[in-house]
Amino acid sequence: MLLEIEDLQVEIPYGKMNVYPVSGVSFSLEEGEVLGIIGESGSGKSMAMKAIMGLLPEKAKVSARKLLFQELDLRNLTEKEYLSLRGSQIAMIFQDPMTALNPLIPIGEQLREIFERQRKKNGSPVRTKDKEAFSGINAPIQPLTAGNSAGAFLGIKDSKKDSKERAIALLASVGIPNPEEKYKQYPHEFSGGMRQRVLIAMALSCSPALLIADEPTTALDVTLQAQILDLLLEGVKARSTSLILISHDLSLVKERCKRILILYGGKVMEEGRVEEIFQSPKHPYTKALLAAIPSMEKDKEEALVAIEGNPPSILKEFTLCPFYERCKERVDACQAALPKEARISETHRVFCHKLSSGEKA
Amino acid sequence: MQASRGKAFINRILSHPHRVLASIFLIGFSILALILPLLPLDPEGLDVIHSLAKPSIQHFFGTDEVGRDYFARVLYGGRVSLMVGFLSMAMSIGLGVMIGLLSGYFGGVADFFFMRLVDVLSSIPWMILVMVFGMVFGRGLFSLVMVIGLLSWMETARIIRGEVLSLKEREYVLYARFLGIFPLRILFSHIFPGILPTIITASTAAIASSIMVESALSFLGRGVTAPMSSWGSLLQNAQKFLQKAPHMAILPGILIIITVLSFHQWGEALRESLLLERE
Amino acid sequence: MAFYIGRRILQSIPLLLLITLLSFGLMNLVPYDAVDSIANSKMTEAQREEKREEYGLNDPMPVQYFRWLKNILRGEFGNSLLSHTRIMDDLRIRIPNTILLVLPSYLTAYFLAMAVGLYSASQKGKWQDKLLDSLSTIGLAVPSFWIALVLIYFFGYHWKLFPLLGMHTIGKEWDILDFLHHLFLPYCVLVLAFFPDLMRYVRSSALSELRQDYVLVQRAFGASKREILFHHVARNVCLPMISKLGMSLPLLVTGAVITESVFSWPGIGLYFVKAVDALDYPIVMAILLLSGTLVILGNLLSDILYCLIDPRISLWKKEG
Repeated sequence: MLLEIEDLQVEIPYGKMNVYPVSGVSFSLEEGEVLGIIGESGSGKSMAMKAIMGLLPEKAKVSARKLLFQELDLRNLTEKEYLSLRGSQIAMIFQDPMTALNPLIPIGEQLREIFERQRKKNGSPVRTKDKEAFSGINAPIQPLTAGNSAGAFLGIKDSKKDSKERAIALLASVGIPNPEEKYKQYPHEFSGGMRQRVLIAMALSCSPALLIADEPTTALDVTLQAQILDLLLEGVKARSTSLILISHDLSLVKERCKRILILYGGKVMEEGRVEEIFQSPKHPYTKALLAAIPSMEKDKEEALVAIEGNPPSILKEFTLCPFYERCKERVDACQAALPKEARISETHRVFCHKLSSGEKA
Repeated sequence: MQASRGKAFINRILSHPHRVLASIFLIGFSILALILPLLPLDPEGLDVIHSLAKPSIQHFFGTDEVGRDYFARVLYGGRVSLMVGFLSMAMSIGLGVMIGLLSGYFGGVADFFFMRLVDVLSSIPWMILVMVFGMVFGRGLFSLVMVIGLLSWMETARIIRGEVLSLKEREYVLYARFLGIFPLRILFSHIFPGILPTIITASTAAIASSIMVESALSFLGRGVTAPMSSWGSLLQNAQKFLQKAPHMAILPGILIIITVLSFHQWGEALRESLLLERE
Repeated sequence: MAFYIGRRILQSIPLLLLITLLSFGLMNLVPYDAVDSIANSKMTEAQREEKREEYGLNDPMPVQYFRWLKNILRGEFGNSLLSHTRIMDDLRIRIPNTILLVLPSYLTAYFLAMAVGLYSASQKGKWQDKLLDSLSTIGLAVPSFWIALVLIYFFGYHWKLFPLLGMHTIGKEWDILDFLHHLFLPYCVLVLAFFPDLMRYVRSSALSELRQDYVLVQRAFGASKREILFHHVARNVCLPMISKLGMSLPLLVTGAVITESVFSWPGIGLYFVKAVDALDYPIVMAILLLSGTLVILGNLLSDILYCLIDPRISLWKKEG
């Protein structure tokens, strides 16, 4: 198991109160697997991912019953330990490629910087104590940096030239035309799609074990979305990297994931394999999401249904199902307590009173 | 609305102990400055035998070169400094708001003229400009206020102009203009309330900087003239006796720093309460 | 690029002319008869009138203005009314003195502010940042002449470590050590005067840079906070700071008016203050004009620097 999360909670002080953008989220990820996470803005999906990456602001408090990445407990990792993890073992791509690159540094230099940082980390001998703690991390071979531990002893000029060549090759591999020329250019000379390609190249440059892509195509032109996603999946497959693909758009992840996790109000609503979610959705929220997807196959008579109401406020801790207020299938039990997990199959689970109380949906 | 703003401001003061101290100082000192002539303090009484004395029980702040009680002199000097600060602020903010409103709301020739004026006045280092204008107006309290007021409205005008330009396009203002309501009435009933918070925040900054400028000018001998004295002119005088009576230089300086800092603290509290309101 | 710079220079000419008009107009508003400083008290009214004619003080205003302007374009600022020395010669001696004082102080404050500002921003919310922020706030409220007096008292009178006044000990005009000895106190005062404002500027721009998306992205790719601060954020903070360097050009002449007065430093500031006191208006006009010109040149320089270093601005595109 690559990633195991149980009962993840994020708590952020806000004035005199606490906000709980993520509470009680559990899921796991196999090596090489692609998981889709679906949720509206404010559903806690980005917060949960930043919690895994250790990227939340310092005042945020992360707690979990289990937070394992390659057997390594992430809960009490120091910033220094996280540094050796981020970039090389876990990397993340964000929503807006326009602001994700430093505007004053040429693309090539930003890319090369990552290689050089990696080389430095690999070149310095790992202390035995660290070695034990990180035995899980160092296990997977890194094709791009392997055999380069000697690189640290070579002249700087050689390693610089070497990483330049590698950066250009990487730019070419993500489909950037004239990579030699583009290597010297600044981010403002790239289009949004090109920048996201660069960021994908940067994220994949160290062949991390896990890549988190947080709405990687939301800010892009619709016509580009499929291209970029396919590029991402190709890159992930070639490196047998696991991928968490976050989106608010079910249709976008449908063809690209095996499993889907649905979040709402910082909680898991439903999880299952793609067929399970699309063919027999159990949670009213999932059903509402599916009804809101426009489709060619859908009957013309069948109108698109928008979900009424607004996403819930996370200013209070939920004691009831967060979807309660917008739900059309409420039952009495919904007013009493949080729903418990109901197992539909080995891979399919739902958090809804209608199912845990034994009713068939 | 105004009441809740006041409440937010007081909240921002009470949540920081040093701001409470600043407020106590400012309010206390202002009251003191008002009732000063009623107190049994004589800034002019000579006591030549005890000249340049160190601070003691009889003379909290010691005495100056002709034995005048320095505590009384510093208080009276502070009164002048505060007065100059307040009057210059009133003038600079008044001019800045008026010009900003005119430029922003009416635009056209007035806007062009005033903005070029801002350009020219901003193109000369401020200290030089103030000294030169001071030369034209002569010395003394009145010309000091005139000079500081006439030369520090530019930033306020620029900010107000920008805010007016954006307020002008708000729907309720467009509607009022469409109805043909007299421009001056629109300015006062619709635009003015919108820029009021900016004006208040700018005012605290303007008082603080006026006090600083006054002290610098008086120190250079270009400010108030004897027999009137301000913190700056006290410092100018103290320079001559620095070796024998350093307290004469140190004490008024500390009061300048505390006063200016206190006004900064108010400005900070105002800005924070406005930010909270906008959120 | 030459075209762009040329256009910017042309744009600043009207502003310069306005400044000459302003300074000339102001000087003629002074409630003072210029002939007083030329004539001595024993002169008869007829002799005074002769002097007036000689100095062209009876000509119509526009004539006087254009004569003055023409002279200035030739670098001729006229003579001091009091000492009758050529102003141009005085400036030649005094400007370098001011530069010797202001340049090292400003550069020290500038680089110190960069380092401290970046450090402070990197410690946001911790006690180090709170302390530095409070200190810089206090620094803004401290009058520079007061700091000067305090330093003079302690270092000059009390401990007798440094000289109180001037630039040289008489007779040691070319002694570098003696000069540095004199320089130290005014230098400290000016560093303290320039520092708080610059540091707050660096800190606030670094803080706003740290909120940028690319910082989070860099962290997600494994960069340490240190690397991000010194490699990424510092570069982005440098950009406005370099253009600020251009805008501080006029400081080289007028940056130390108060400090020079306190320390009797024989620079432009002291020259100016004395001229204002003596109503020596050709000198005042010359300095007003000089400083105004430097502000305009400084803004020009700052624009050009910005264009040269910001890769996002293409000078060729701007010309279109």
